[in-house]
Amino acid sequence: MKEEKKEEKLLKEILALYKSNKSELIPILLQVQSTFGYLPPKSIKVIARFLNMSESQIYAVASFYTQFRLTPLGKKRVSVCRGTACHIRGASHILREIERILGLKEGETSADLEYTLDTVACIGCCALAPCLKINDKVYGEMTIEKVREIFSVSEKQ
Amino acid sequence: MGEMIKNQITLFIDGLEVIVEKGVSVLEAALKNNIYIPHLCYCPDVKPFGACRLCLVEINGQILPSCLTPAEDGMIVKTKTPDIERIRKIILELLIANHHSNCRHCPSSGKCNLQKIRGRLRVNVKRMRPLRMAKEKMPIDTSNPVFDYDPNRCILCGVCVQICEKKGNNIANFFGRGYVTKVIFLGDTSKCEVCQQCVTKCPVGALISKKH
Amino acid sequence: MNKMRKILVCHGTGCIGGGAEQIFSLLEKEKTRLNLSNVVLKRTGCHGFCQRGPLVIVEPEGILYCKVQPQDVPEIVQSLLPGGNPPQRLFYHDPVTGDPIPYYRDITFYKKQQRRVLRNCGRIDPEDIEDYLERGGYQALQKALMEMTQEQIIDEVKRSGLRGLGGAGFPTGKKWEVCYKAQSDEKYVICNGDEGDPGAFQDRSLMEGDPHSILEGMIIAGFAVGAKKGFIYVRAEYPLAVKRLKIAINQAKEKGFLGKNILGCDFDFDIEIFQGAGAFVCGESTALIESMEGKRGMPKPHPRPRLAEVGLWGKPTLINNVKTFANIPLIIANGAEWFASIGTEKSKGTAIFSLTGKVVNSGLIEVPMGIKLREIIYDIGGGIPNGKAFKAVQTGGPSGGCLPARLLDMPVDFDSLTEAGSMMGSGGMVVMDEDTCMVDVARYFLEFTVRESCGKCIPCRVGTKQMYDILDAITKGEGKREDIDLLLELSEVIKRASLCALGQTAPNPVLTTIRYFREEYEAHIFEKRCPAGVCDRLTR
Repeated sequence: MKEEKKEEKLLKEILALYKSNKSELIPILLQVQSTFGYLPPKSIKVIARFLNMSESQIYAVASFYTQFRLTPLGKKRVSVCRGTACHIRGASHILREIERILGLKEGETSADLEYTLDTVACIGCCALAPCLKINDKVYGEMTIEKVREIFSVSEKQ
Repeated sequence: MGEMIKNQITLFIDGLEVIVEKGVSVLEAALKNNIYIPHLCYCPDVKPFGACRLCLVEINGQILPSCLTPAEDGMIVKTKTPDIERIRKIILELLIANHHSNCRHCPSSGKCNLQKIRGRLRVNVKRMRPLRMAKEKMPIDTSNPVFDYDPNRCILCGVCVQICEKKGNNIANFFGRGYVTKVIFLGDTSKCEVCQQCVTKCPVGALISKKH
Repeated sequence: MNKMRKILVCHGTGCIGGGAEQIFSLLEKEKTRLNLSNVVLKRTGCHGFCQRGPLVIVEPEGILYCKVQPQDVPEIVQSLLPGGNPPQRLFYHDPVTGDPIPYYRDITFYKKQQRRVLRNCGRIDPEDIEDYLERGGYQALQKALMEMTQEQIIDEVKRSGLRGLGGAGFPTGKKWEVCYKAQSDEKYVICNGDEGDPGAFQDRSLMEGDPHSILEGMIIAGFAVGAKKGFIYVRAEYPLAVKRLKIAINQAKEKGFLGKNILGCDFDFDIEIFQGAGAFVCGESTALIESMEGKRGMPKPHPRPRLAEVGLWGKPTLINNVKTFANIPLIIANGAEWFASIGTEKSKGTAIFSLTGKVVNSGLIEVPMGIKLREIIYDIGGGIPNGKAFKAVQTGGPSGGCLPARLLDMPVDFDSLTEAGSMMGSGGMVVMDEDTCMVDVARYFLEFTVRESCGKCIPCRVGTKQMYDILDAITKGEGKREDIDLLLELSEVIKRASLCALGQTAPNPVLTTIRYFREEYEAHIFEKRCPAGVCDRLTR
């Protein structure tokens, strides 16, 4: 119950910054996404009411864009870059190794909500390919050894 | 008499002179005059979507969707150039390879627009053999009290979405992006029993009334 | 009296990843400890030589230190004291002779470049408007507002020959003119910063490294076409760019370059940032506008009115790419003739590329249009690492194509690239060597396109998936003898029947790899062999 109240309060605070114009949908969704780490079903209902749209219409927009998650993310979001430079320099091997270590397939979140593994079209650090991100930190010039280093350290933590 | 003529325009479709009121699309001009241009996502009750690309015609060397092109006075339209026929055939073959349901078990068999076009364009199954068939099968959505939605048969024409919006219910909407897009039905579904316009207008067998 | 020295520490995303922030704070501590009042420390944007980062540059000499580590800091600072010697081991060394090259202007990576648009990247603190002003910033705006009419500005842009640098290469001046002529109470200017090509980071570097150049270009555009409101559409994945742009906007406002009665003239202009939500298709102008209106990013089919006449919220809208706007202050300040003095007849000015892949010097470069591919890859790029042979170079991202060795002497400009089957695109240039499988490359790009297709039209949604399935099968040894012809046939239909440029250009990687590397396809299909040794299930 406390969590719900907290959620409602946060949502109210976010929506107070907007004018309830339908064009504000994506900025609103981005803010809710960054606040909660995903778009809780309750938030979709509240936003729909705020913008005078149906829930269905909100899902139509939210489901189109990759930034929006409809299920919670893990604490550590591991995003492996699959940009062209990274691909040419072996990103698929890096991804496979991480899949093996974490026991997750691309797009999955671990049951304990510790890790989410996904891929990203391009981080923008192509000169340091292959790259990956863990939350906001970028790791460049990745190798299988480096992957093992990073994840064994994380595991211990 | 003078006013009537002012609102009428003359265009030429495959050499045939056609007279229509200003404001109609080239597709509508053709259909009103018994000239068949294949179409799947066009439905007169909603706005043209331009998605199936089957209604492509050649106007002044340009290839344009006839459902979205306003008919203009003096326009010369070709609906059957070798180019366009080849494009249509391949679009259809792609659709059929992707449809992965056969007509035998489909309740819409006989009424299906895709079937109709397939018949008219005479798709060669042998030619289609190298095409890869769709492997992924999406689950059928039975959540709605009145009808079932089969995303494997859906061609994403958007008619159900538009008509639901037109009725003010906004229950049907696209969900997802690209190849995995489907339609979801979310909201006050008690309204569906008396409406069912989506089921009626669906050009294929994606929406089947539960009564079947 | 000790002369003024500047230590510039590159804070592009790449160098930050390499530890630039730590190096900066250590430099600060050393500077304070030794009480060096004549030394100024600056965080700058991307200097371009990303492969060698973290980069530190000492001005005014122009000494470049590469791959700087925290432990190198004391030596760098010591070298600024009288009698101090710069640590040679941190210089760039010629890869062939091993000779140290202390000054960046002597390094071939920089020598053949023409850093016009990138003139400030790596030289100024992007979060300090004073730096921008010091280097002539906002003078073009002053000239435009106070000495020129709207028609004169548009004419200057037309005569410069500037073509859109987002991909299509449409003449910029013409677009401005259409928007200017449109009658409306409200008009909008949008900067397309949705750089979605995987392997491209030139827009990001500009937004992070020299945000004011973009703002200045937009404000001049707003004045020219008669708009009062501008938006910068920034991709979701670029938080640092968003931050730097917001700071720049606030600073510009404070100085009166934005807001009401700019520079005392009867002209108001405001700029807002709009963050994208992760959809490559939103780089397409009509889809971009759809997303700004809160909808699914589905492009609008032809026939439709031009965006310059009917765009955002139905109003005339001018959309240009980041690099296009960044060129504007230069054109206004220096004139159309100056701008057109480099480049080719139909492609004037410079091109900015993210040069990446199997190349020694990977980074951000700016070159005159018409330069040969060979010069870019070998003279600037330093050739292929590890003694491998060049195989192909890919330009234009997923909408472009792969060009083989026999085209290395072709000029790099809009039309030459298009004729060869590729395109300029937004500026990604990926070098591939003998260990790259061209069928796998085609498969990779189709995988990207399938993910990013909006899904509206059948040729793209179903067609690209079919092409991907065929390519995937070929790389797994399941290719059928009809596959090459089938791919060519599907490509043609998808190109001609798709609703928007994403679908229309999606087949290009397939078409170029079949055109130039057909033997590889044949080896995969008929011999179950992958010549490059990439496809796991096939023999080498």
